[in-house]
Amino acid sequence: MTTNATSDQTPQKRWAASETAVPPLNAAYPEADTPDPAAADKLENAWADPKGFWYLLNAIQNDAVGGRLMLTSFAFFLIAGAMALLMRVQLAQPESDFLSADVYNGLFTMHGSTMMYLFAVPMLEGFAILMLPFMIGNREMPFPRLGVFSYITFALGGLLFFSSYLVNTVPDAGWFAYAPLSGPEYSPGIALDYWLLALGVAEVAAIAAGIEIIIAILRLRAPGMSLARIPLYVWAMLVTGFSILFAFTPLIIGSLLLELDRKIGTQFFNAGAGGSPVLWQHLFWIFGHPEVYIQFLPATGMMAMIIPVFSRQRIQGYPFVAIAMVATGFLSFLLWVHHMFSVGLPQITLGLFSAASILIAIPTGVQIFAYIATIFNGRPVWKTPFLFAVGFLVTFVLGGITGVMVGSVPFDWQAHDSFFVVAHLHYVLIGGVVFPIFAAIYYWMPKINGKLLDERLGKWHFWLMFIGFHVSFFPQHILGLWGMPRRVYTYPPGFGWDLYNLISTIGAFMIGIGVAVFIVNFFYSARYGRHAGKNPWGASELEWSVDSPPKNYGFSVLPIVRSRHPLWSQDNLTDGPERTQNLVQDLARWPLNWRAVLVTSALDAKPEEIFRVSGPSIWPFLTAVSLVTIFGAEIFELRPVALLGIFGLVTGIVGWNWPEDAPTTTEEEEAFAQKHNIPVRPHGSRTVNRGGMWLFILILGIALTTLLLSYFYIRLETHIWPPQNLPLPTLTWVGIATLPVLLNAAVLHWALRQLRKAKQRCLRAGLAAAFLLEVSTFALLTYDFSQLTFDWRINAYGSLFWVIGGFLFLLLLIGIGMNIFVQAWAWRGIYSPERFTPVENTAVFWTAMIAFWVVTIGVLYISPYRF
Amino acid sequence: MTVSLGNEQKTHLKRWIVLLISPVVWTLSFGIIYLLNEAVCNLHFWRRFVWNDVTAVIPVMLLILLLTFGVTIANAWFGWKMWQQASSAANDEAAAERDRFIGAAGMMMGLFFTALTGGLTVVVLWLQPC
Repeated sequence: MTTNATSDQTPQKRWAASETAVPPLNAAYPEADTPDPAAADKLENAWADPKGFWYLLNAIQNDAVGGRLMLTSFAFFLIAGAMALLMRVQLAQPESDFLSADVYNGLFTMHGSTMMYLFAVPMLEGFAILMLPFMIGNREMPFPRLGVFSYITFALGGLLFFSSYLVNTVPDAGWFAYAPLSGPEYSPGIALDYWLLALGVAEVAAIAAGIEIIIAILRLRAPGMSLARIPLYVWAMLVTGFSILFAFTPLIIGSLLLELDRKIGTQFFNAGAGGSPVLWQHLFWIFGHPEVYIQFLPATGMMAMIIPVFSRQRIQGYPFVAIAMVATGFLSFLLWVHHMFSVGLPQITLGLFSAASILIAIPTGVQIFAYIATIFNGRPVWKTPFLFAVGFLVTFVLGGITGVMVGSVPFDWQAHDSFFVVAHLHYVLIGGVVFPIFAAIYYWMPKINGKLLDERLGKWHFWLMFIGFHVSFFPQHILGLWGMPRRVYTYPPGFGWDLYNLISTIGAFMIGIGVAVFIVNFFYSARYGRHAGKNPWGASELEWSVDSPPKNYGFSVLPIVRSRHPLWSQDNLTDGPERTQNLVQDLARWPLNWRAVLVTSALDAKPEEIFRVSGPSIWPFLTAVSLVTIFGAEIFELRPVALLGIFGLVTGIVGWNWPEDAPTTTEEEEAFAQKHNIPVRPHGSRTVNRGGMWLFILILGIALTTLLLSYFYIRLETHIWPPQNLPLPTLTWVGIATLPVLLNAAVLHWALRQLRKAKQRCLRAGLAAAFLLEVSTFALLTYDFSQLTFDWRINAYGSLFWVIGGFLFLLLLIGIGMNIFVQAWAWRGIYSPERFTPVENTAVFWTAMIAFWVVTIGVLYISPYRF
Repeated sequence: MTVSLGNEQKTHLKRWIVLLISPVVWTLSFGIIYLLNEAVCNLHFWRRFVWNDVTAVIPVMLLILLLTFGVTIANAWFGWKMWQQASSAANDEAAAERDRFIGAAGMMMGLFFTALTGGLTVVVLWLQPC
């Protein structure tokens, strides 16, 4: 490495002088500005979580929520790993009777489901919630209460899922629960209800965390961290956040439809009544394949952070990697059919999806080559995180190659449902996700708890896992090619499978021992580990500029970013445009008694707003418990308990959003706002809340689109529509009901305008008028449905009509509920020209409702006349 | 206090478009072609539109692909222009860096998805529906 350094420069200045060089490990790296002790104490108190018992229920800080998500998901990982070992013992020799077929079916279902729903995604989301605020140079995530809600729903959902063992009704239809095997006819009882409802809760949790991650990345980045300077991990999480919304929502809808088939006799997946089991496969895999990339992208993002640090080389091809991540995110949604090549689909469909499946190797390859080039041009430091990173590269590339193989239709037909696919998916998921997660834990743990993990134990851990993994899974390729099917609890001797299965089992136990070494290392290092200091690895990103472990407030003086690698290229984190400098310095001195967070613009990260992020509260906990109660009660059809849950849910949401008094004076706010020419919003952010509302609308839109595409999918397979001589829908009442929907949005926007002019009475009148319009729409639609001559059990058309109609009712209820809350607060005089976000969000929701209404009515009521 | 963005907001929107239009349009065109293909294979549905021949849908698919080609190539062109302009801008280094990145990203996205559209066109021409 060469620089233009001169002898009178400080080490940091010397390295900062070059745009390409990397400072040595022992260089003096810039640190976050430290406030005066009095201010620091006050900030620490303002950001502290409650102590004692209330900490358990109320803790809201990103490190508490993220850490809990990671620990809980790791516990699920251990349980699912133990299940894998049991299965490997069973398969170690032919005709083994260690496990019965039923137990084995339950084990592979629980293992796969736990790893996919309860380990990988929550672990990666937990890590993001924990680390993102430090990486993007802000103090907190935008919706801390949503984070708590996400964690509680996830943890209780996971416990609910595993409680199926307590009543000895374990789900046993695989992690994909294909219909009709999972339907009421072939899976009676409640085992599959556990799978659908308990995991449904975990899916809601994933979406909640996804919303938080997106808004944080788009709106809470440190000043100066423009789109071109975002750390690659953060890019990966942005793509992942959107992928979660687009992937998990169809799965929730699919799960809902299957549960309705099981519970109330709808016919979505019953071919005998016009439904389609293949529809379930579409709905599942449109989630299932992006799910792989939802796990892989954060993992590759972690690699993009770790590899440059240990190669002592800046990432090669930053824009290429960022673009490749975005392209991977899009492409991942167009591959799902490659899981269904053997179903019997049209030729062009096979061709399109085969091509897309193989083409995704290009953006993935771009990322891998960038990492290899970074190592190649660097001087690797072989610490444990780097070993796991190299393990990732080797293993994932092998898994990717077999991925291209099964992306080819003829090969897929040969390998489908064989152990070859088991080997492929574990190469991708353990190599591409688990290795990076361990790399990340070794890398970031010093930041999280201030202690370095032990290197010697870490290397033992790596080599046991790496060798064990390949010993375990490489032979499974051969087993698959030799015809051993997956999901069989035993096999006869004499097929040549015996030895490979035994080797595979030995490898699995090596992995288990490796994980055990990690657990020992974790606890040993937490107690006896070396203190890390702020930047033990000589890393380049913002999280390494704060204390280890970080203070409650993270950054007192928010950093100003002027480079992609701020700690490698900047002398300090405080220089920048004068206005920004003054702002971040003053923000360290005021406010000190409430949790202030800076909102910045999405493209340039220019300061836009200061708002108070919500504090500890019992309501997210109550809301989450209520939601899980509803789902849990529904498994056993305990409707009164479910009703109690609904009551708790509504109460929780109301309490959660209850307006709180601002812990500041208007004079103070105005003085700060005027001095820095920036809005101060101690009642909550307009920008962040509006972003949350748009994402909520997006989720509802995705859900509705999924339902409508299901409608057309089933319609395409039916000759006469509506089938069985059912009458065409009548247009009269919904036609009339359309008018108040259109009018309502206009009235609400008018009311909002009046509020901006401080006309409180007009606001109240507008909201009241809107409420009447909304209720009349609801009443008209109710009347129309009361006139229907068929119900949801008659056939798939009836099911679709009622369920899509039911979704429309749900949307109306959400909108009416919002209006009621806003109206109640409007009558209390809470809103003002400066404080209007809830009213604005209600108006935005009802504007979106026009689109929801028109499209749904168009499909349900009008399309049968023409199509 | 409100922050009015006006023209700046439009410019920002342009940047987002340059960054994301290619994958969005490609995803849409892929989805439409897939759905069209599923639909055309159920001829009873299409007979209402007097499309008795499954291959009749191929020109429609090609038209969609042509439009996608147009968008992705235009995206690559505008990305290249933005990249060039940002490279020669001298006043605001941070803004120039941002636009260089977005321009390069748009250009590469455009080129990549143009190539993918080419792949789809070959598939559509090569294989018969159903």
